Amino acid sequence: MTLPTRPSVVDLRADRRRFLAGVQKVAALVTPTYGPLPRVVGVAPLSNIRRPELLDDGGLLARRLVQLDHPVEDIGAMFLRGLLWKQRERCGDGTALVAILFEALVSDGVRLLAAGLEPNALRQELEDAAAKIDAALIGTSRPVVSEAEAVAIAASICGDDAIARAVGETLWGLGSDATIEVRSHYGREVAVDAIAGSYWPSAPLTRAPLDASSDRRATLFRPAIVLSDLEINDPTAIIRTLRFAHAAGAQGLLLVARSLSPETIAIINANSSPAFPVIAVRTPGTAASDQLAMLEELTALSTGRPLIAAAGETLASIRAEYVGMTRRAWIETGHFGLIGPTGDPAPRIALLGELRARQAATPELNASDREKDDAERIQERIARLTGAAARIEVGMSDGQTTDVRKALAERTVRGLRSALRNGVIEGGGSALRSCRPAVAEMRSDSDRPERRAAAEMLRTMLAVPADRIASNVGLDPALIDGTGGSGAIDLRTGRKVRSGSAIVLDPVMTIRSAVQLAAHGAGQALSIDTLVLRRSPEQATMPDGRPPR
Amino acid sequence: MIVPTITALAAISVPSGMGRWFAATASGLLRSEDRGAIWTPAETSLAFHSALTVSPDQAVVLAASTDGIWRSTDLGDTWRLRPLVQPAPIMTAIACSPDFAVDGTVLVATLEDGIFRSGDHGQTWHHASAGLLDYNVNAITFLDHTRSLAGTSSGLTRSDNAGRHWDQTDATVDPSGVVAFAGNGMNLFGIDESDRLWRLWDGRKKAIPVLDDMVIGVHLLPGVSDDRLLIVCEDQIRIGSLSGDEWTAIHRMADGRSAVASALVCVGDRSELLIADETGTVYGVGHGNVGLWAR
Repeated sequence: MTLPTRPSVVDLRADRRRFLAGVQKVAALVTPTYGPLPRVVGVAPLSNIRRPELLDDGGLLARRLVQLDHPVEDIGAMFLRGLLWKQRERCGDGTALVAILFEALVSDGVRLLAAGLEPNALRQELEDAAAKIDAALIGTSRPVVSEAEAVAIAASICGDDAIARAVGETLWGLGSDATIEVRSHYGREVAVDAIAGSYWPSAPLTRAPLDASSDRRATLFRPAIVLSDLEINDPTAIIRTLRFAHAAGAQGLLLVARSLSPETIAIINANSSPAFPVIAVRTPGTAASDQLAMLEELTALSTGRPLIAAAGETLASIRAEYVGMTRRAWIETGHFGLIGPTGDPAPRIALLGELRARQAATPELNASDREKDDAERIQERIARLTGAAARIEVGMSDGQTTDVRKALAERTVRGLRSALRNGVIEGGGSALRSCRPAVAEMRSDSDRPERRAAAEMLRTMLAVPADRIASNVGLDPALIDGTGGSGAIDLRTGRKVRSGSAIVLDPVMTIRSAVQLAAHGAGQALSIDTLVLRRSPEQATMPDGRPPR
Repeated sequence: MIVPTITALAAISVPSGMGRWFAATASGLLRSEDRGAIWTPAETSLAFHSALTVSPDQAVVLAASTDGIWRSTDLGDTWRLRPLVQPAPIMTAIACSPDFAVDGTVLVATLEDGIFRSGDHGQTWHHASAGLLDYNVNAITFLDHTRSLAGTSSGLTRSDNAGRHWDQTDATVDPSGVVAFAGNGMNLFGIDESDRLWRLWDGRKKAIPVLDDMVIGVHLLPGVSDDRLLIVCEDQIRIGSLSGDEWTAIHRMADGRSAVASALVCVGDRSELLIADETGTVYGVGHGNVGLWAR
């Protein structure tokens, strides 16, 4: 490690090639994982008793890179590493593409800046040119049209046939807003459990019907539902509630409450029978806003009215219109669910419309962390409202632990969801190459050298991914370039095929995000003039004062 | 004699040439080998049978009852019960994919329990109501092997992945829901809960009323050059083009009887409309090639 022992300032204008060298080292690390037939990269274990990791995830690979020896190279490497991680967080895929595009831009940029171009003007022009490519990519995108395509996209993200089939078939079947919960298990296979209806995280407050069943799952047919966030301490109010449930023609009662007193629990258990099961569950959600949101969903599905503590309501204030109904309800240790909404669907349709409008207003790219959290919450709410949910259980496979496969499945869900929601482009590498005319006019219609340079940089950059894919699968890039408009090369087989058949599909958002991150990042990196290198941390010493070995 | 109410009809052609007719009734499934002269109970159950269909390749006959789905793979000689969920839902309609022989997809509409789907020719069933906001489903149909429509009490909902996920459409039927469909990918007609005929689908968001009679059935009659619509009203049968502006009466019910159920059977270029009236009589109308319907 060669960090300076004292803080120092480096004029990067004179040392941009070092910065580029760091970028190239990270790019060389992740580039083999790019394309429809990704190669894996071996990472030595930290301890001798572990096996080397075999990774094909560019983001994870970059994460394994802790530091480069030269401080300026290290900053170049860490800069790119940050972009890769951002891409992984955004899309779950496309990290190698970011590395390839970024390396191409910085490599050209370093040369052009040495020739005297103005960095800030170049940065602005790169952003403008990237926006033109973005528009061209949107123009070439199309929706996913079949289950086979969904599975193929999933396979291109994860390279694991079993996970691709499970994620592709499930998300295609349930829609892009479905909640897919990925769990690990001890077996080796990948199993899908489609969940009928909608469910919420919760815990039972009374256990009588649960304890009576062999599988610790209680199922109620045509139960009344009373929703609340109340702490219920008044056992007599339970009796009143039960009367309303019987009067509504229900065949059971599901009570949702924040907590119950021991006396209340005793009354509920005493009134629960196989003919009329009664069970109470905790109000779902932890934060008050989450609780209210989930009560709103439950109300829309069961058409009762919730009793809200903040409004001064108690269970004693219950009236007939507070009692909702559902066709079926189920309760397990960690969840409860409803199957079959009842009553007027208008409130459900209105709430779904409101949630979809909020979802549409979330920025597709560049969302803040808060906006991303909100978007995820909205998607989960839509899934609960529309009853679209499944669990995928992932076991280990040869060479991959359960945890790695679980993470892979989660990444695949994220990538495929983006493809189903925003569309795909056919063959990421060739699609980028076909976007070159979008920036060609910038070269011809400007007398500003930075504008012409930015256009040329991006034009060159757009050709690199297809070349890299070809060399990754052992083909001559010239062969790809020479196919013309009438045909294409299936890179998985190396054979010429009809255009449109056997084409690799990439989520358009993954490609758009990669172009944007690379162009924005390169503009930023190329406009850095000065670096401050911090003093290296104090080295720990052995008790006798010697440095550690 | 107590005449059971017929709720649905279906027919298959058998090698003997007479064909085999099925009638779903309130007290079981009936079968006739002689074009409705004699009916015998099929080996299902005496439960209420509410819907009936024959797969396009005639390989499978499915009957919906309050027990579950009864399935026959030998032209209705023997039947096996396939449960959906316990307690069994009240089923209102069954629809087979036009590509049934390949994809094996069947959808069942229910009251209160949403939609169930089978992907293996009706052998196993699972809940397929993701996206459905109204679980009272009265009618279901395939527009092609991937697109399907379901009519609920609150409007139309569509699926673009062969009935696995549903999206509420903007199309509204005023004032009440859809209980039956007929149409192709371009035009769709439906009967509402007040027995009126509406044109539901030709790119418009709002359904248009086209016939105010008591309509009990509507069928798409495939044609060589253009499809036509057969409309079974309580007292007569009409035929018209899909433009929906002119209807010609081609048959009147005898002795003031009322039609209660109908089914269109097409084999090759021959089509026959089966009609059941309230006395339990079932007969065929328009037997012949498609061109004869216009007369």
